[in-house]
Amino acid sequence: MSQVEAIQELRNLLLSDDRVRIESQFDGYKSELLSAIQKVESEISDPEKFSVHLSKNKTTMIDILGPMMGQMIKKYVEAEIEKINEKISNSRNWFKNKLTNLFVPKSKRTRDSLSKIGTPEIKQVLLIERDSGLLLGKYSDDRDVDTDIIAGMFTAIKSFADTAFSSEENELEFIHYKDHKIRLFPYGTLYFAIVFTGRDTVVLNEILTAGISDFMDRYYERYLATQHRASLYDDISGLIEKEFKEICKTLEQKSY
Amino acid sequence: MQDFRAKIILVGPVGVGKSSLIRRFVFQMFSDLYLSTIGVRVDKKTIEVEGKQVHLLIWDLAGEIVNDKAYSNYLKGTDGIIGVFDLNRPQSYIDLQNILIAIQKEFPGLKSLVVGNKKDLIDESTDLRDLYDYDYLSSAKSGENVELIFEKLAEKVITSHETV
Ligand SMILES: Nc1nc2c(ncn2[C@@H]2O[C@H](COP(=O)(O)OP(=O)(O)OP(=O)(O)O)[C@@H](O)[C@H]2O)c(=O)[nH]1
Ligand SMILES: [Mg+2]
Repeated sequence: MSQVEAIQELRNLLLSDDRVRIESQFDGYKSELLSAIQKVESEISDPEKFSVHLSKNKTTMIDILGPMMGQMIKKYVEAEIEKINEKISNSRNWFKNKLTNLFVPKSKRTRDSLSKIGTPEIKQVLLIERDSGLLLGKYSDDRDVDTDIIAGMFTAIKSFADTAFSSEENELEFIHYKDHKIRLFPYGTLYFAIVFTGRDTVVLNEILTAGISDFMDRYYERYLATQHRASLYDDISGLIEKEFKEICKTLEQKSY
Repeated sequence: MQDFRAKIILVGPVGVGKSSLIRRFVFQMFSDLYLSTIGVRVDKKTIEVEGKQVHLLIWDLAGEIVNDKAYSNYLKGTDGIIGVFDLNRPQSYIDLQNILIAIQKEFPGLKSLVVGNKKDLIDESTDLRDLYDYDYLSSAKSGENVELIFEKLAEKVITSHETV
């Protein structure tokens, strides 16, 4: 997000029509608030600094707004400023937030064992429809996580990143979250998301790329010819499991 | 029994109760606290419709991002949407209409329902039909009609898939 957009967003947040009910009390403070925003606007020239500045001035903003807007709105503004900060400073934060509850509590086991050694270990393989984010098939060693929700969130994150950095040919390929790494492999209207722990090595990448393209060569036509994704699910999951068990074996042999 | 996956989205302006409806539906919970949604959240609930297991992947889009570039990307590949407005805020009804018009323009024929939420705050004697055009009334607080709206949308989605 550019600085101009950020400021525009702040304006919208604070002055939008949807808040008509508080408008009357608000009017008196509007100009004060506007000049506060303008001050920030004139002082800051790059987004990074703008974000820092916003944090510093958060309390000032809230003090101006606070008295007549009540607890709820106060909290709201605070949250909104936090939100803008987050978006500006690093959209990765956004990813992190989204990912927080997906893996954390249950992954202790992996964290303790393999990631220390660094050998890449595949935890989950998800085949996902690019647009809908619906899961077409999976191979997962962890029964505690809901892969349907993860597939949806990956897709939302991917959509967000692909739009925010608006490049047609550069798609989001990699998400790093704590000790989990996720590599995305687009293929036509689908994509694979491979969740793994350990090091992100060249060997791993080569093996995955080859395995996936091999798999998709065989499978994609069939997917396109099927009208109901529902009918594919179990079938495809079986195939994915078979393919990735092979891949894991190759991986074990090649990484020592 | 065949498993079926469907992506549905709740759309509507800020603060109308989209997240609350989902919370009620998925977790049987409600809170008066307003925690504005940041970006997107995905939840899931499996229900049975016409003898089929339907996994509903429910995307909760923050009202605040309605004008973001990414908004229509999130809507891609959606099987159905629930448009929500706040019965106490006429402006939210107007805003929802505009959101729905824009969506129908880009995704013609998309299955949708319009829901007036926060019914618990409305005086029984008010003639809501006079004021708004909607499919269902709901209350995330009391739970009234919450399951029903998700089921109705799921039925619509399933039927449309069967007649393809
Ligand atoms: N009385 C009552 N309050 C409700 C109902 N549904 C939601 N609320 C309240 O309305 C406020 C906003 O609800 P949310 O569910 O966060 O609204 P939202 O549409 O998700 O808002 P955004 O995420 O900002 O787009 C909260 O304080 C809720 O407690 C309802 O049916 N009755
Ligand atoms: Mg919300």
